[in-house]
Parts: sequence; C-alpha cells; structure tokens
Amino acid sequence: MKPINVFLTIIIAGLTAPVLGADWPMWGGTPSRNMVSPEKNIPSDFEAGEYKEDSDLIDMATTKKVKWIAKMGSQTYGNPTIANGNVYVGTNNDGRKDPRFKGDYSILKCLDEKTGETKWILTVPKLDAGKVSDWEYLGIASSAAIDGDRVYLVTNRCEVLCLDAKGMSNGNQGAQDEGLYMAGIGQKDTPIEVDPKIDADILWRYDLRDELGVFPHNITSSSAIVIDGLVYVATSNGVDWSHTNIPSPKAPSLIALNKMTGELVGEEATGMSRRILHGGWSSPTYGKDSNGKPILLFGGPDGIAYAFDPIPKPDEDGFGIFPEKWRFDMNPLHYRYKDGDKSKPIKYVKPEGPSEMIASPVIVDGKFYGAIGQDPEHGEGIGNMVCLDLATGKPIWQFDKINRAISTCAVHEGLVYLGDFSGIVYCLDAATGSLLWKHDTLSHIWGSPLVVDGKLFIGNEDGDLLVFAAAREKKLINTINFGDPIYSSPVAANGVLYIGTTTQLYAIEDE
Amino acid sequence: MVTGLLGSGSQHTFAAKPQAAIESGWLHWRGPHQTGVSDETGLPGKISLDDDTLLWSIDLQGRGTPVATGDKLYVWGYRGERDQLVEVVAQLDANTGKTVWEHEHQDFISDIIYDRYSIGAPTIDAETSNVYLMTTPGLLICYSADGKELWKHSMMEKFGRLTFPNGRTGAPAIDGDLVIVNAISTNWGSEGPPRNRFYAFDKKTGEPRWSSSPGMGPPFLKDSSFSSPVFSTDAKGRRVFYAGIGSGAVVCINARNGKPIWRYQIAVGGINCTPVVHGDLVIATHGVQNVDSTKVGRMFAIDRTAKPGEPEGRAAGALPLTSEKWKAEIEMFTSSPVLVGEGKDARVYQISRVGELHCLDATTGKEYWKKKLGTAQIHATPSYGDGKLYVPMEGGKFYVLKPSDAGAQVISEVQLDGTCLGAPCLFNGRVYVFTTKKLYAFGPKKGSGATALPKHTMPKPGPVAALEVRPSEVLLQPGEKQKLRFVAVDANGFPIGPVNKATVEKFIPPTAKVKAKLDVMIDGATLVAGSNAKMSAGAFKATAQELPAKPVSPDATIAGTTRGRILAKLPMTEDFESFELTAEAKDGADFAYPPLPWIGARFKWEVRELDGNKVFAKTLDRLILSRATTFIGPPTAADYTISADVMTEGNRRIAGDVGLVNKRYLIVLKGAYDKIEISSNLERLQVSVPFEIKPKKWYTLKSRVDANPDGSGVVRAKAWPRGEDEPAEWTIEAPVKIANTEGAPGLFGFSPQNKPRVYIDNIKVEPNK
Repeated sequence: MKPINVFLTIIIAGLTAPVLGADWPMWGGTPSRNMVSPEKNIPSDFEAGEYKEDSDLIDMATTKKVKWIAKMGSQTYGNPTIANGNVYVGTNNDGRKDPRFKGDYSILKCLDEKTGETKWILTVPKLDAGKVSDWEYLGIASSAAIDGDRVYLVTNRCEVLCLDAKGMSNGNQGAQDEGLYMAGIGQKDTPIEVDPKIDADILWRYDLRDELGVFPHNITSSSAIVIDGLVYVATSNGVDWSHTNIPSPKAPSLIALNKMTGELVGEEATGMSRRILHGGWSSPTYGKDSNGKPILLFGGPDGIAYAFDPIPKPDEDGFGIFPEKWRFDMNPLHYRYKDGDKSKPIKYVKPEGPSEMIASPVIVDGKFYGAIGQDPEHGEGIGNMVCLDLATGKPIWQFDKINRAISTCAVHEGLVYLGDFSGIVYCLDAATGSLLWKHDTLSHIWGSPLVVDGKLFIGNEDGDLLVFAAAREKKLINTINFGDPIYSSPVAANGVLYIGTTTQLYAIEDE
Repeated sequence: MVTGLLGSGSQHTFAAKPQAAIESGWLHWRGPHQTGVSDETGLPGKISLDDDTLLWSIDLQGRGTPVATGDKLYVWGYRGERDQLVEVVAQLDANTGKTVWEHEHQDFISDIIYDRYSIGAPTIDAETSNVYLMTTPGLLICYSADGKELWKHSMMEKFGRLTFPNGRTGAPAIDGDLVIVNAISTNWGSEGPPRNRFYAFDKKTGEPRWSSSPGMGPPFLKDSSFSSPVFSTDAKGRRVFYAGIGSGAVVCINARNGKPIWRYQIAVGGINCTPVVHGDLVIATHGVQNVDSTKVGRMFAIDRTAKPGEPEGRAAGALPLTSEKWKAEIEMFTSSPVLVGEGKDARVYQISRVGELHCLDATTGKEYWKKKLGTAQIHATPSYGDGKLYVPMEGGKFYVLKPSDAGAQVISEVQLDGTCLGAPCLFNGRVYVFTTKKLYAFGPKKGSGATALPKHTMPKPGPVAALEVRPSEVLLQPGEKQKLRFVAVDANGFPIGPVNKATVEKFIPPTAKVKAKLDVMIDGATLVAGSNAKMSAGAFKATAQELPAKPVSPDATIAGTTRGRILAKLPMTEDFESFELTAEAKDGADFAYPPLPWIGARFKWEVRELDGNKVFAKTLDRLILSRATTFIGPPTAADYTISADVMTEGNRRIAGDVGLVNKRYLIVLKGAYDKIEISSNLERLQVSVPFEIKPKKWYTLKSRVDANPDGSGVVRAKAWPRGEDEPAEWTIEAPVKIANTEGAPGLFGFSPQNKPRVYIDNIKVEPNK
C-alpha cells in the first residue's frame, strides 16, 4: 500500500452548484441530500394494483396511473436514481432467470426510463461472510451516483465501482475481469462467461477491505457524491459479531477516490472508527456554508456529526487527510450517560441509549439538518433531530421528541419533514424546531419523505404510501397500499414518481 | 473405574428422590398439547395491573416462557447488568412469586449481544419431575424438582454448539426416556461441517443417545433455529418429531433413533417457529427467503404423509413442493402458530412481523380475519385458553381477545413494563408472562382448574432390526475406559430389550472422508484407552451375538455403531512437528489438517511450514471461518496453565487477534490495539492492558486462572517476546466475582476479513504448580 499524491494533480474545477435538471442522478437528488423535487404534475390518486393469481407479478389492468412496473428481487433497499434516460436501482437476484446466477447475489439494474425494461445488470456475488459483513439477500443497498457517462456505486462487497452507463453496448472498457468479478474474486477461480448484452461494464474497482482494512458491518451501504474530480463515500466500517469489538479501528470511515482512476485521494483521520457504535451506513453530504465555503458533512458511526474541508491535505506519510472543521455530538449527554453522569454509561442498544446517524445530513441555507437512529433490527428507541449552523457547528435547535429515525429529512419552504422508525411522520418549523404536526402511520418507517408538487410522500413497512399536503397544517390526502413493504424512498424525475417496494419498482405518471 | 467423560453426564450424579408422575401442568413452553393451548376454563378475562387481577410481579428480566405444575413455577430469566449479569433458573412458589431455589449461570465465550438472554424455557418431565434447561451459552442441565443438579453437558465444548448474537436458545423437549435439544454445531469428524443438529440424551443420566443432522449446510444454512421438537406418531407407526431448522426446512425425524425422515425445503435461512400438527398437516411459519417465490416469508401446511425423495448425504430426503397443502402470505421469523380446536373446526392463529394477528382455517388455510395489534412483533407467541387469546406484543402491550370466525374482540388491554418476547404460561387459572423487566402473574389468589395432561404410550415393538449402542458418543483420555451397552430395537427404533453379548470392532464408515481409528483396546464391550493412547477419533461397530426377541429375518445381522475420541491428558504439549503436510492448499502451500478430536478446528486452522518450523496457521480462504475458537481438551479440565507462541501479520491499518482459552476465558493479543485482553463475552468481561504487538513477531503467551475459597478469582496472563526470559510478573490480572471452575483448554484466532494471518505454535497445557 503506497501513499497516493494524486490529489495534488486534481483540477479544481470550481465549486459550481450541481446542475439541477429533471433527472435525480444521486441519492437525495443533489449533494445537499434534501429530499425535495422540483417536479410538477405528480399524481396522488394512483392505484398500485393487485398481484396476478399466485404470481410474483402485478396485473397492470388493476393499476391506475402506473406507467410501468419493473420486477425487483425479493428484498429491495436501494433507492432509484435517474439520469440520462436510465433508472438505476439496487435489489437482489431473487427470481431472476439467468442460468449463470443461481441463489444469492446482489444486483444493480439499469432500466430504460421510458419503458422500465432492463438495459444491463451488474451482478455482485456475496462475500460469503455470513451476516456480520454481508447479510444474506440484502442486495445492493446504496444508490448509484451518475456523473456523465459514469456510474459510481458502493456494493455489498465493500468496494467502490465505476461503471459505464452504456453497459457493454459500446464494448468492454476499463477493467477486463468482469467474468472473474461475477464469479467472486478470491472465492472462485473460474470466470463466469460474460454476456455483453446484459452484463455491466466495470471501469475500475476499489476494494475497501483490501486497500484500507475496512471491516464492514452487516452490509456496505453508502451512496457516493461525485464532485470536482473526487468520489466521496463512507466505508461502512463497523463492529464484529460481538458488537463490542471493532476489528479495524485504524481503517477510515470516510474517503475520497479519484473519479477517473479509483485511486485513494483522501480520508478522515478523526479517530471515529475507534468510537463506532455499530456500523457506518450514513452517506456523505456536500454543500456550502453561509460564507460560501465548500463543506463535506458526515453523520458519524459514533453518533457525532462531522464537517470537513472536502479538499484533502497530505499528512507526514503522504496520505491525504480531510481537515476537520468541527464536530457535534448529536446525542445529548443523558443519551450516553444516565442522568448525564459520566460514570454511568448507557448501553448503546438500549431504547434510552445513544445512536449513530444512518440518515444523511441535509444542507439547506447554510444549515445542517439530521436525526440519529439505529439498525432497524435494534428496534425502537429515543431519537434526536438537530439543526446546526454550518459555519460553526453550533446547534440552532434540537428536537428530542422524536424516536430513532433512519429517514433523511426534506426541508421545504421553512418546514422540515421526516419519519421516525416508530412510524411517526413529523412536520417541524425549520427555523425553530417546534413541532407543527405529526401523524402515526402504525408501521415502521425506513425510507425518507419526498416533497414534490406541493405534496409529501412517505412509505412504511405495512406497504402504505401516505400522501400529505406539504403544509404547516396536517392534511392526509391519500393512503395507497402496495401489498409489500416499502423500505426505499419515493423519488421523482422527469414528471414521474418512483415507488419501490421489496419486490417491484413502480413508475407513476399522471395520465 | 474412570468412565469416559461423555459416558454419562459429567459432574455430580445425585440420586433423585422418586417422585410421583405429574398429572397436570404447563410443562413445556407450548403447553400440554404442544399447540399453545390450555384445556382449562376460568382463566382470567381481565388482565390489569390492579390488585384484583395482578397476583404478583417480580423484578426478573425474561424473554421466554415460565412452566408450571402444582404450586411450582419454574422460570428462566436474567438479572443484573454488564459484568454483573447472570442467567437465573429458579423454582418459585406460584402463589407468591417467592423463590424456592435458584441457580445462577454466567455467560462464557458466547456471541450473545444486547442482553439477549433466556430466550427459551425450562421443560418439566412429567415422569421424573426433573427440570431441563439449556442456558444461552449452552450448558444443558438436568435439575431435580428440589433444585439439585443431576447432570450437565457443556454443549459448546463437547459438541461444538455455536452461539449467535441473537441468543435464541429455545426449550428442551422430552419424549419417553429422551431429552432432545436443537443446536447449530461444528462438532468433529462427520459432524464437523456446520449443520442444524438435534442431540438426544438419556433424560435420567445424560448419556448421549443419538445426534441427527437432518438439513442442508450453507448456503441454505444461514441462521440458527430455536424451534422445539413437536412429537407425534406418523402413518407408519413411528414416533417422530417435527421442527423448523436453520437451513430453511421443516423436518421430520424419528424421535427414537434420530434418523431423518423428511425435510420440506421451502426456504433459505432459519425456520424458527415451533410447528403445530393438525391431522395430516404440519403447520409452520417463516420469515425468510422462499425457494419458489420472490416474496419473503410464508405460513404453510405440509402433508406429513407425503413421500420424500432420496436422502442427500446425511440430510433427509426432500418432500416435493406439491406436499404443501395450503399457504398464506404471512411473514414471521420467530413467533409460532397457535392451533385451537380439532378437525374442520380447527383454527390457527399467527401473529405477523408487522404486528397483525391472523386467524386461518387450519385445514384449508382460508383467512377469516386479521387484526393489527402493534407496529411490529418478533418472538412473542400468543397462548389460548378458555375461549380467549392471550397476546403479548413486542411494545409491552398485553391483549386478551375473544376470537370468533367473524373477528376478535379486545376484552382487555394493558401496558406492561418492558418488552414482551415470550409466550404466556396458562395454568391453574392463572396467566404468567415475562417482559424484559418483570415476571407477572395474573389471576386468583387460589389457583384452580388444572386439567389432566394428555397421555401417550409407546407402541409394542416389532421384531429386532438393529442394535442401539449406548452411549452414542464417547470421550476418553489416556487411562480411561468406557463400557458400551447394547439394546435391541425394532425397525422404528423402539426398544425391545438389552443385548448382553455383542462383538465390538473398530469401524471406518464407507462415507468417512478421514479414515481414522480411535487408539483404544477393545475388551469385550469395553473401550480401553491405554496410558499412552494417542489423540485420535473413530467409530465402532457392534454386532449382536444373542437377541432378546426374534429378528426381522432369521439370518439378519443385528448391528449398530457408535463413535468416540481421545483427547490428550495433562500435561500436554503440541509443537506440530510430527504432522506430515500431505495436502495442498489453494495458495500452493503444503498443509496438514488439525487433530481430528479437536472441536472447531477443521477448515479454520491448518498445520503449515513457516521459516522451517511447523506451526498452526489460521486459514484465510473462507470468510465465514475468519475467526476460530478451538477446544483441545475436555470441558471438565480444571486448574491448568496454558501457554503457546503466537504471532500475527499486520500493517499500518490492520492486524489480527491471537490467543488462548483457559477455563472459558479468552486471553488474546489484539494486534490492532497493541493490547492484551481477557474476556468471556465482551459485554460481560473485558479487561485489557497495553502491550506492544509488532506484526510478524512471535510472542509467548501464558495464562492461569486462580479461584479463591469464596468463589471469586483472578484470570492471569503474561506475554513476552519469544526467546526472551519469561517475566516474573503477570502482564494482566483480571479479578472476577465468580471464577469459572472448569473449561476446555483452547486456542483463539481472528483474521479480520481474512487479511492478516495469525499463527500458534508450541502449545503447552500443564497442571498448575
């Protein structure tokens, strides 16, 4: 492993704001991760339809305002992203009819935005690590980030991939070992025969375990940001079976790679990996503070929010380190210690104990918005929603009357919306943090809300999609049941609303 | 005579006072009919925390089900936090909640996290009144009704039972003279590969009677299962049981001899529910991946008379998917169905993962109704009695519902303190239920209404077909011997009578991958390990020379097998120099497999050459095996000092962990932390001191455990660069409130993500000086 100095050669292309088109090219649409879409004419009176008799497919005749439905596997945690006529979504391999891939694989599907038909598929073998580092059947849990004709993805194998958005239709470029990759590098020696009509074209691959010694916990999940020549991702470094021991305390939890070559350019050196509570499943957020300075935010696996200068500086060994601007503990002291008494630590998983950040920070108007939460397997517990001044890292307000949340918030016209894991949707005043309304959906909420076209969409584990007016007063417009749990977040692009259940991706459009 | 360590349950063997057979009770967590149903009338309709219905409550945390007979309530719970936490098994006075007797058990070495203890139940034996329990780290213990320990096995150290972070342990099941437990194990020899296994022991003595491996390994095996065996008689007159297993199947096993009969392979991953039997149907629920659909989870009814295909290796033959008589889209990973009524009127109730209670026709699967009672549910199973369903919910709500085919009416609803994870016990007019904070007893001050237990009598056996050799597994050390006993059994495994004359010979099963023999002399029916007997393992075949009854055919050979292993006696040393490296690894290196009788060694370690020396090297080719806890001696070993040379590879970012096991404590050099650590389940005991560890440098590590007269003790260890003088002082001393008194010596290695390899050499285990 040799230090890399390529960050010195990165062309600083200017910190231009991302171009907001009608696409939704990354998790959260923009690097600010704010779950708000500018789309119009998004319907709220559609119907998700019924399954055909004893089938895994929906009878389209029973749907209303559904443009197409793409069959997913059996578990779908990935959130769709849409760019340049393609829809990208992560799921698992279940039910797929490709004889080359039997059993548990993770896949990223690239679909035609117009028809929902599959253009190409990235097939990722499991690590065969058991639940601890690559939980069975979870599929690809990260969202793809699209930058021009390149697709950046963090997979279940604890690696960052750069893919060709055109698949192999324009030939196999970059890395040439796709056959071996699909067989499982280090697990099988015989490559799988590549089918250029369907297989993804891998341009480069960066293995976070090989290169950095990362020990991913349960699953590697992080959605990339691509900006100014760098790809920013979290590593999912975490604890092992014991849930106490952190096997890789010296591996970074947040890094940046050169987007063209995949070489390591920067890493955090805050020591957060020594403080991991469970695993680092949050995704980084990028924006500008009130002084117009670029800022990289990360919800740490230790329950602390971090702000960095996104341009790494070399340390004495030549490794690029993100200079830390500030950090803020999102857990009030009495979440970590009983009555705030430091001699009485509260055990992490206890309902009254501290949590990490799984949701992504959101940047709006020079402020950080985000809530803490835990692995859904840990059940319900206390939460905290914070609003920080990006320039100082100081809290503007905190709202602790919320339970654990893994939902990233939507901040729109002075209102903050999010759901907690206990199933309650909140609307807070963005300036003061005061509660304006809440609604109990009676079922766990995993995904994030979407504000679009004056409405607030949010799904839950019962398979209900709730539609509210995006307003200071509570108004439930509709509840549409999808039959299967909704773990992902509603997304809108180019006039179409996308809703993913565990087994189907729906494209919904006004007639 | 020193008997083999497995020959009977180890340790104390008290003579139990003879007890009259129990006539009534909720003896097993599923109640008298194995369905979650009580026959009693007069059970409370109103459950509240008011004085008129709350009989008593005590501060005992629990996640399972109490069991009861007469005025005795047997409970398994836990108390305390962090290093003070202990599991508690107790007999309470059912009228007052006062403790009559109790035993505390510490966790050791397990992977249990987040205080997930006591997820299961004790089981009362109606014949002997004995109480059986498997603790979360795997001590299977038989207590007399007055609380004396009659026998025990450390399932982890003797049979390679694994523990998992989820802690789900379940309840032992009793049938006839056997007590049966469900476990995932990596034992030795043919039982080395990880499988869901069932282990049967003589309920009075603890003698191993059979083990059974009915299911597939990975990739189907993805979970543990705490499903309890449910007994019945099948169409062929066999005494069988049904259970869910960790590899996606419901299985049918002959309860008398452990032979797998069929598996219904519907899923990938764990089937945790305890099924119910309704006529020809076995009804079960799961919450994992189906093999024939992309929907997760299912409730399903299997035709238990269907004909299986060919067995796959040791696993049972699979039933065709057409054996599924009905299914319902209900996802539930760990809560079990409740079967109410008989024939066409039978209804089955199942709570789903998202907190909906479903009512289905047990014969057709038709859903009558569903009712949402909470946001979510995990382990808790309802119980039914007196026309009412008692439904504990994860959030701590406890409902009493009056179900009909039209729906369910809530007649009582109360918020309990804590989370509900166990099923209620319904007995003697009362309702007992655990939360993660308390144990509650609801109902009248004077218990009444107990109904008689159903009776089962074993059928008359047929002609002699085979020989059962007891014990089914032998563990010896040099200088010990084990007398084998023989019982003639019929084709279904029912016992006919003892066989007094049989020939015993060493036997290599035709399927054995390692052709090995146990280093013993055979003296009639006795296996004798000489004082110089080598560490070894192998099988034996016994052929009957006279029979207590007629055989199936006049010229039939009546035979059976058993197996055993010999572990080294103290003092023992192992420098691996005598191993011949005859196998070739994937990376081209020559290696030898680890010693056969060591538990949890194969595929995790191999003997390799390093710098002209033969050493024990951690394997790096299967990620699932990146960590090894390997037992090299008997679980009853005590008062020994263990030492070895240890080394880890590493670099700027990573390094491995390597160390020893002494009496259920891990003593580990932690490469990435530059420290030496003593632990035994990291949430229970974790003490460390700084110690600089350079990659690729050998250190000598040594440990002993000293107990004080008051039961406390000190775990001691020292480490120093190999070749230098041993320091006089201990590097680390960890005081413990209750010191373990026994435990197998062992080795530990962990290569995170299989990157840094770790090594061990020059192992010494010596009696304390």
